[in-house]
Amino acid sequence: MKAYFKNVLRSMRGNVGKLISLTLIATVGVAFVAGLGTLSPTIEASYSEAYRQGHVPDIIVKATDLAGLSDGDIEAITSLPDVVLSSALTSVDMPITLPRTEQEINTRIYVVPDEIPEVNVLTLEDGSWPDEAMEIMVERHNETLTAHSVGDEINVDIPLDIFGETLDITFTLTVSGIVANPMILLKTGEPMLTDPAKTLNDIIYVTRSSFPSFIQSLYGVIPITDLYLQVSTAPGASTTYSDLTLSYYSPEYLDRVNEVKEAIEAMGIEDIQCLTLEQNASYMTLGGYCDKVDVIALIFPLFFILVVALVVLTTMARTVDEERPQIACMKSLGVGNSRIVMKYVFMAVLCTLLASGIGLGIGLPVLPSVIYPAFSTLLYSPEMQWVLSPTAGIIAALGIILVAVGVTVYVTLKQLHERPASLLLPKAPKAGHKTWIERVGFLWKRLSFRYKSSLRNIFRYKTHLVMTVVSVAGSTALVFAGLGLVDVANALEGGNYSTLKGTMGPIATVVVCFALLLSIFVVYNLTNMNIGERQRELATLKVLGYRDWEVTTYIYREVLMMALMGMVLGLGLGVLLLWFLTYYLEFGSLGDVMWWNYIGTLLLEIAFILVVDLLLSRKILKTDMTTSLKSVE
Amino acid sequence: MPAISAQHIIRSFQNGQSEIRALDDISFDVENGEFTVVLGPSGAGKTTLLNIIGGMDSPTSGHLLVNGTDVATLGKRELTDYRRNHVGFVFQFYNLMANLTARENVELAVEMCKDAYSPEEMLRKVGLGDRMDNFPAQLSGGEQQRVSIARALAKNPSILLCDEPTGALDYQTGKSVLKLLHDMCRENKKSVIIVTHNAALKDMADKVVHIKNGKAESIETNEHPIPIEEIEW
Repeated sequence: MKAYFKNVLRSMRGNVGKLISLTLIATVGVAFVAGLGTLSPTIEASYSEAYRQGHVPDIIVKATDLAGLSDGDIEAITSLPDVVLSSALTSVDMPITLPRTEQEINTRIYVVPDEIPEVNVLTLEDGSWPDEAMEIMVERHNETLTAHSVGDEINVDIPLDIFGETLDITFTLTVSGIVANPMILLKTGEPMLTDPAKTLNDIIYVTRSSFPSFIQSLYGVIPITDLYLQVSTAPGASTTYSDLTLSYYSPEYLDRVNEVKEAIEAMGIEDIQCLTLEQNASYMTLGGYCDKVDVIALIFPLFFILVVALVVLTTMARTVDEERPQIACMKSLGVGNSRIVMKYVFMAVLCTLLASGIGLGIGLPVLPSVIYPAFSTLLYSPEMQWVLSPTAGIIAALGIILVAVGVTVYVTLKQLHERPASLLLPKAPKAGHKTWIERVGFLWKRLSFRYKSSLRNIFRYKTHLVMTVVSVAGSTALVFAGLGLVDVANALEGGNYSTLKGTMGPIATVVVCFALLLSIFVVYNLTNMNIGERQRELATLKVLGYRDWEVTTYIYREVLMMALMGMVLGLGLGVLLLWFLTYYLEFGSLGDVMWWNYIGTLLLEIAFILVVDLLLSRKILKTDMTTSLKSVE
Repeated sequence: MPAISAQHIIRSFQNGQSEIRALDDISFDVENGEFTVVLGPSGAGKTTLLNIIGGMDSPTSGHLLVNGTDVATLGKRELTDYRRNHVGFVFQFYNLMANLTARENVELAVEMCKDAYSPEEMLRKVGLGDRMDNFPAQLSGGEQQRVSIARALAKNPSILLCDEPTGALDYQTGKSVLKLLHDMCRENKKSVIIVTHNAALKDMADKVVHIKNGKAESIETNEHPIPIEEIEW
C-alpha cells in the first residue's frame, strides 16, 4: 500500500505541469460559474438592504380621483391588522410651464409631512428641510431630471382660477435641499404615472407648512392622494419587512404583499389603486437584469463542463499514454485493474476538487465585486452586500468532478484492455490508409504532396482530430459569442441598457479569456501528444535532410488544418449560441454583431494556436535523430 | 581522392566527471564506388561512427572529408544540407512513413533534392514496380526495406549509409536486400558503408573496417569479394 501511494505521488510529481494546468482551467470554470451564480443574489440583497433602510412602502394606496382619500378610508385601511406603519401624503404628476420659454416640464410634486416620514424615508443629501414658504426640495439629479443646487430659484407659471378666470401666475420657488427617495433609483429617468411613456423632468418636495398658504386657501384643504403602507410580515405580527433580512425579490415577500393588497382591494373602497414594488420602475428594471444574469449563469456552466471534460480527456489520455510501461509493469505484477484506474482517478479528483475549492473561493467574492459596480451606471447603487450563494458553483463543481472521473476511467480502461506484453511497448504508429478525400480525384490530384500527407495524417489519428475540432470549435464559439455580446449591448439604443453594456464587458472578457485558454490548452496537449507519438517520423525526416522549418511545418500544417475545421464549425456554433442568447435574453439581435467580429474571432484563434505552435517548436526540433535508429517492434 | 576520408576522429561524451571516448582516433578511407563494411560488436562505437558519417553528429576532434569537404566543421544548417544532398540512409527498421504509399515515401525524399531520380523508376529498379501504391503496412519487411533503399538512392547521394540493413529481416530476405544494395551500388557508382555486427558480411565487401572499443582495429581490403549468393551465415 505504501509503495502504491509512493507511485501515485511520483506520477503526480512527474506530471505536475499538466496537472497544474488542468487544475487552473477547472478553477477558472468553477470560479466563473460560481461568481455568476452569486451575482443576482448579491444584487437583490444589496438593493433589499437599501429598501429596508429606506423603509420603502410595501403597498401604496393611490386615489384615482382628485378628491383624494377620505379620512374614513384612511382610517379603515390603516386600522387593518395587516398594516403596521403608514404615512399619508399628496403627489401629483403634471406638466408645468416655465415662464418666457413656454417649455413644458413634466413635474411630480410631493406634499410631504413636515417631519421625515416613517415610511419611505427621504434622505437629505444637501441643504436643509424647507422652513419657509415657497421653499422646496428636489430629487437628486438623474439623466432626465433637471440639475438643481441648493439656493437655486425656479420660476414656474401655475394656472390659477381667480374670480372665474384662469390666469397663469408666476411663482418663484427656492431650492432648500436635495433629497434621495429610496423608491427612485433609476438614473435613466422616472416614468410619469399619468403617462408612463414620458419621463419626469422635475421631482419637487413641498412640506405641508411651506406650501404657499394662498394656494392652500384657493384649493381648500389639500387632499391626501397617497397612503404609504408597511405590512406585517405575517397576519397578526407587528414586524415589517424592514425588520427582516428577507430579499424584497423573494416570493415570500411578494406573496405576502399581494395577500394584503387583495385584502385592501376587497374592502370595496372606490377610486383607489394599490401599487406594490412590482410596479416600481427601479425595482422592475433590476429584477429584469437579475433574471437575465441567471439565464447566462445557467447556459455557460454547460459549456464549461464540456470544456473541462475535453481538457481532462486530453490530459489523462496523455498521462496514461506516457505511463504505458508502468501500467504494463503493474498489470504484470498482478495489480488489479481497479487499483490502476484508481491511481488516475485519484489524480483527476484531486485536481478537480482543488479547482472546485479555489474556484469557489475566488469566484464567489471576485466576480460580483467586479460586475456589481457596473450597475451604478443605471441605478443609484447602495453599498454591495456580500452574499455567498454557492449553489450554482457547487453544482458546476460537482459536474466537473463527475465528468473528470468518468473520462479518466474511460481513458484508463481503454489502455488496460491491451495485454501487458503489448503495453510494455510504446504505442505502435498507426497504419496509414487512403482517406475519403482521395476518392474526390480531381481535388486530391490538385493538392501538393505535403498537403496530401497532412490530410492522411489528420484522418489517421481520428481521436486527435475529433478532440481538436471539438475544442477549437467550442473555443471559437465562445470567443465569438463573448465578443458578439459586447457588440449587441453597444448597439442598443437608450440608457436603459447601459447596465447591460457594463455587465457584458467583464462577463465577455472572462468568457473570451476562458475560451482562448481552452484552445491553448487543448491544442498544446494534443500537439504535444502528436509530437510524442511521432518522434520516429520526425527523427527520420531530420535524417533525410528536412530543414528545421520543414520539420515543424510538417506538424503545424496538420494542427492548423484541424484547427481551421474547428474554427469554421465553431463560427457556425457561435452564431447559433449568440442567436439563442439574444433571443432568450430578449435584447439585441445577431445583426448587431459587427462584420469584423467574425474575422477577429478567427484571427484571435489563429494567433493563439500559432503561439502554442511556437511553444512546441523547441520540442519538435529537440527530437533526437538517433531515435530513428532504434527499434519499434 | 577518396570519396570519404575519416582522419583521427575522436568522439567523447561527458559522463559526470569522467569522459568516455566512443570513438578513439579512427582513420580510414572509402574510395569512390567502394562497398565498405564497418564491423564490430555492440558498444564498439559503430553507431557513433554512423552518426558522424551521416551528419547527425559532429566529432569532438578530427576530420571527415566527403568529396573534399570537411563535414566535421559544418554547422547545424550545413549539416542538414549535407544530409539532404549527399547522404542516402537505409535504416534497420526501414522508417517509412506509415501514412504514405511506397511511391509517396520515395517522393518525400526526392522532392527536396536537386538531381534526384524519378521515384517510379527507382521503385521499378528495386523490383516494386507493381507495389507503388501500397502502404508500408501492406508490404513485407523485405519489401519495406526495398522501398527504403529506393528512397535513399533516389536522392542520388554520394554516400549510401546502411545501419544493419538486414537486422530486421529473415535470412533469405536479408540476402536479397544485400544483393540489391550491392548491385545498385555497382550500377550507380555509389560508395556504400554498411554498419553491422554480422561478420559474415565482410566477405562480400571491398573493404572491411573492424571496430573495437572505439578504435579501428584493422582495415582489410578484399581483392576478390565473394558474391552474396555464396555467402552463408
